[in-house]
Amino acid sequence: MDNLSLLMDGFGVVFTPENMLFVFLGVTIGTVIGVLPGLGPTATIALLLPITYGISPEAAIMMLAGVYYGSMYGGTITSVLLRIPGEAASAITALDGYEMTKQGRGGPALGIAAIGSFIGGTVAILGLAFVAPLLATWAVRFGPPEYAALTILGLVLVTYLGTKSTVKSIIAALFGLLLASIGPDPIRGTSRFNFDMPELFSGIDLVAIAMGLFGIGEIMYNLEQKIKGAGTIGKIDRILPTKDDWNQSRGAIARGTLLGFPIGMLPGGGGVMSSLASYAAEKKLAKDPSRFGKGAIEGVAGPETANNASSISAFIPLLTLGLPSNAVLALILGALMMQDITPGPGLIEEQPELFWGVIASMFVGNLILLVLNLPFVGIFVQLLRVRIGIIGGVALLVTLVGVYTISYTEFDMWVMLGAGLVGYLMRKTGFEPAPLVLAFVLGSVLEVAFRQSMLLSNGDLSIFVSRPISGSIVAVVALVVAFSVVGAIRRRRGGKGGLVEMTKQLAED
Amino acid sequence: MTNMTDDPVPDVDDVPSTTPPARGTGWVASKIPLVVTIAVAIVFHGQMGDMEIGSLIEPGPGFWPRILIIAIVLMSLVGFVADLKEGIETFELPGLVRVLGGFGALAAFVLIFENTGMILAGIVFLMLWLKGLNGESWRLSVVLAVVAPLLTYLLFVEALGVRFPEDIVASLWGGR
Repeated sequence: MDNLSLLMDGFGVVFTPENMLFVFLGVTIGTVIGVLPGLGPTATIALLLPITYGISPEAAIMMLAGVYYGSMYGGTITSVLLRIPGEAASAITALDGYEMTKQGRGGPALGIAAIGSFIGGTVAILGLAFVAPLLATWAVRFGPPEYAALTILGLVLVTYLGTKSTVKSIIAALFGLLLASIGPDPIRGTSRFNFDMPELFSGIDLVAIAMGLFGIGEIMYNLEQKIKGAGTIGKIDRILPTKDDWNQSRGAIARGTLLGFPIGMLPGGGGVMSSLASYAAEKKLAKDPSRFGKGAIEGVAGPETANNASSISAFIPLLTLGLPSNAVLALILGALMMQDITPGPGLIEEQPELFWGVIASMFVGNLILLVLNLPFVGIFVQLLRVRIGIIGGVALLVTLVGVYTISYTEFDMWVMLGAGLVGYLMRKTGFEPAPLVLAFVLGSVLEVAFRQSMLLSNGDLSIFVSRPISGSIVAVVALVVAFSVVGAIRRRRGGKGGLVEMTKQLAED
Repeated sequence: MTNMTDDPVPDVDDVPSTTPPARGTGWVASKIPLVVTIAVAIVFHGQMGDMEIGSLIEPGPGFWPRILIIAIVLMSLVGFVADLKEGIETFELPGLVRVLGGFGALAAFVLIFENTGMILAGIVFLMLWLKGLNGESWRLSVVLAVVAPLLTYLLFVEALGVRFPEDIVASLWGGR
């Protein structure tokens, strides 16, 4: 069966009342939390994880994916109308989007962002439908050395690209790997680091760690900062862009799609980097770059298209290799594992309903988002009046109850509280929780792959460089490390920071 | 790829953020987390006990954790010579008290939850959170503190069939 027929079957999976409900819930929650500054997609997905335990894997992933790409739409609204990015990937949109609002063109800014997001998202879904099966066919040949090299590449890229301080992120990632080693040894079953607590014999639960580090950590940080409701909300008149707006934006939308798609697949890439790369490209290509920052519609259309395309293509490495490219995808991997599904090259063959159903749900979700974000944008704007303290309190209540339901023990609640305290302290000291959680998820994959590689090669470490695929990946790792060192030296000598540095700044914010 | 995305982009310095700008603190403050990471690594090392290390040919259960503990200590030592001041924020008393109060409210929830069930724990937690920590009005605090736990109870216990510890409030109307 060709991919198109399989995709059609995927629509059959989506068009059931239960799955449609979860797609709708996902994209709506995504838009809402995108609108609300102070609660990002990572924290929300962490908070929703326990709820997914009781529903089918298809519905769970459709909902969580919807939250992720839905937040990309929602984040735009506050960026454009208030100059407050609802989430980091929309920060760059605030520059020209808010200027457009001041000029009375807030509506068309939101309109072009929604249309660009829809186009970028839809093209990326098609790309996902055709690239993922090809990659999976290729990845079937991967053995333990390739998986070990790929996992290390992922962690290296995440610690370098996605965060501000490489040293801090490496330490955080190493702790993630160490925490993952708590529990039974993955090859011999020996208990490790149980600290004489029976609850630790089976290891620490990802949900408790993720909810604590992201959810509680973020809510506590907001509590400390006493973030209040929004200020004056910009007026929206008509939403649909004019023909001139469209003519000015269509090139930016096309380029945003082309940039966002590959960047989303990169570990550590994702929404922030793709939107910045698109903004940089548009400004460079513009006949009059001085218009940027003063209400250039391309500065809204390009980045918004790119961050949506990247949020879709980020699913490719997860669904084909089982390797999440950022913290949100790591949590979605966690949701799959809670349902006893381990993504990898075999997923498309073994779980066609899940793979094609999720892709089809993205089409449907993007369509729902287009509708939600064009005529109903005014309703979401009203959400800005709800104070974050109220949302935080209710979210914490549901979180506490949710984490209990995973294994019906108060121990997980205490683990979550502990992780929340660590998450808050990490934020205060400039440590990123994302590398820790990603490493925690990948920890057992990496350890098993490494130890199996050693068994295969009789303890010869050259196995990682002597095989063509793993050797190439190791070469890329070496290049990234070299690039990171050269960049650090240049910065120390007072060199100008580039896009990666700005991404790191935004990632921290 | 990297070269392309690393092109300098002017005029984006004033990208607004959702949080106030981080205030740098001194050298000592930036190194305290490293002392903590080394201490935690030592605690984990102490827990290795008789975990077999094995060899490269046949790594034992302790092989991988040992590598990680050494790497954490080494990276923390690298951190002592690197500039880690960026991103560190100062702790100010009013904010810190609110955060500690927040964790206290969460701990209170868990303790009450274990003994009297979800609803009372939820009411106490939300009252502490909304009225005590966020300064919301009495009316809003009381309404939310009662409605949210009841809805949560109905969703989890009645609709999803989840079993919580015996609930003294729900027992008033025959619930569990």
